[in-house]
Amino acid sequence: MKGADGVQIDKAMITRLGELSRLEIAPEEYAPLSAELEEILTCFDKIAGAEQDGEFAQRPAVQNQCALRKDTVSTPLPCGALLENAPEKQDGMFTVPGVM
Amino acid sequence: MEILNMTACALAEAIKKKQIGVTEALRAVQRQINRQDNVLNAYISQTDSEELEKHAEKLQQQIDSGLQSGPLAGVPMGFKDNICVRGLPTTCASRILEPFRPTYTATAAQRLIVSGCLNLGKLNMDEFGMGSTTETSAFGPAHNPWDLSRSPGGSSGGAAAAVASGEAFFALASDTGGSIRQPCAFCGLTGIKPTYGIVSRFGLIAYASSFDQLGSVTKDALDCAAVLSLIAGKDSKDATSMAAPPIGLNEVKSFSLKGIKIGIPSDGLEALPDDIINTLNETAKKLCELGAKLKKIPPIGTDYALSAYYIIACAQAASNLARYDGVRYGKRCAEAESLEAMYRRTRSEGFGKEVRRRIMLGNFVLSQGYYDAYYKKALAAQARLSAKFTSVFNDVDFILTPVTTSTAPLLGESLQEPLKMYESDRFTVPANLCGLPAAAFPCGFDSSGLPIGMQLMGARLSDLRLLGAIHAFQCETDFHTRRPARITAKGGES
Repeated sequence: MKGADGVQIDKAMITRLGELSRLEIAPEEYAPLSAELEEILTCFDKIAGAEQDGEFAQRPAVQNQCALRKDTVSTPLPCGALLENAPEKQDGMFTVPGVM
Repeated sequence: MEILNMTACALAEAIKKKQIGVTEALRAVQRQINRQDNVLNAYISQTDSEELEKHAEKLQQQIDSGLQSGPLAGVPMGFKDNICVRGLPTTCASRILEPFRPTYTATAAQRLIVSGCLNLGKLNMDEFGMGSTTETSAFGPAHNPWDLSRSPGGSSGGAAAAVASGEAFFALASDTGGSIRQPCAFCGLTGIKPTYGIVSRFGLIAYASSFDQLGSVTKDALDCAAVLSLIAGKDSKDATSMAAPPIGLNEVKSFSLKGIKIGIPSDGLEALPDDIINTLNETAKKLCELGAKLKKIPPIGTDYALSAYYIIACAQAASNLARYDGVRYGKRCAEAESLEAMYRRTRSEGFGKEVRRRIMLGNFVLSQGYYDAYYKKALAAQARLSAKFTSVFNDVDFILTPVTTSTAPLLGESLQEPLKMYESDRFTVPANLCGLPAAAFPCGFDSSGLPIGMQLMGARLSDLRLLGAIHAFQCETDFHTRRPARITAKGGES
């Protein structure tokens, strides 16, 4: 099966999406995942039939005025509160497995 | 009237008049939770009983002395479990957030608490809001009190099940693509997704930030208006929030449908069950009897809307959920050999199947080579749809559609067919794509006795008028007053 522009959701694509998503994909998941994603993307392809033009491509759909706050220093959350939910911490810092 | 059948506004009024005590109302609802929540599974976690009793006593004193006089003072309610309340578990129905205890409270939740509402606990939902049946919850599905073999809808299914069955007088929930309106339709309730921006999203755990909006699951339009009057307004902690026009309950009560123009679109109605089409027609007829004028309007492009919605929502979800990596909060996998392995294993163990699928879809539509074909086209389709609605609302005041394409599905029916689940959102996603207010309200029942809901959509910032129109309808009908049969502890209905 193919999605937009003939894209195939093959094994290489599933591997790539797993990397981008930082997810482990078990070997037995490849085939069903590929079929599901292709089916969904085929449905998404309806968007290709939607009228396109430059005017709408550049226009925000919801035109809320974002309120900008004053560019002043405010009090951040204290270190203790930031670390409250840390799975692992040490000496006021988050700890992670070694990278070297 | 039995306490549990009262609306939130009626209960608050009775408390003010000293006809019912806050503790009495609290105990009634707690008994109901204890009696049946092992069957309904509406709550993921509950507030400590002793703490609630103390809070109820304090509130009673404040109400009696006039310190608390809001429209919902003393009313026990629940929060969907993606709304942060300081110190209480906030899981988003996901294993990855199971250990998480927020260090702050969401602005909208804080406004309700300060106004004298009693927080009963956190309500079940689809994981991160991704689902339509609560079956993607890591804590098991909630059940529909009208038929326990069926889903209460999703993603705010726990909220709807609780309110419909007397386990809460109302709930604060979120709606990203119909997550308030669809469960309300399946459970015979009234719920609103307000105009994007009038309620602060600070403290609402993000799924798709440009669509997410907090709203209420209630028994009628007046309750919806009362909740909105408390939670709406600008918040310096949410740059997308804005000052909302005041929501006056008297204006909602006095709203007249005379001369109001209601549009019914010609698309999206094909292949709907007869019960839903008949209910749409009967609702339109009733609105006309009350003075409204019907007008056929051009197709609103439900097909494109659905594709655009899922492309943009998945893209934003992929980005928003990238933060769950086992470093700062939430779950971390055991003994990973490297940092990269820890990220991957934590996320793979912590996220459920539907969440993983949507993250991958989101990364696909954002990736090199596909961004223009999917994401960019979806944004253009969204802008075009928004322009179309602006034009339609120059001709009509509201748009009437069904909320759903069916009544509540059997549990286990939807999970195997994700596409079918996505397609069932066709009437609800346009409001999220365009930031419009939309409300669901009960309008009938199908041949099996399951509730059917209709949706009224309005122009931006027409929230008050929208609820006024539904209130006018509810003054002349009784669908919103009907409740499911009482559930027994063994799971039967009596």
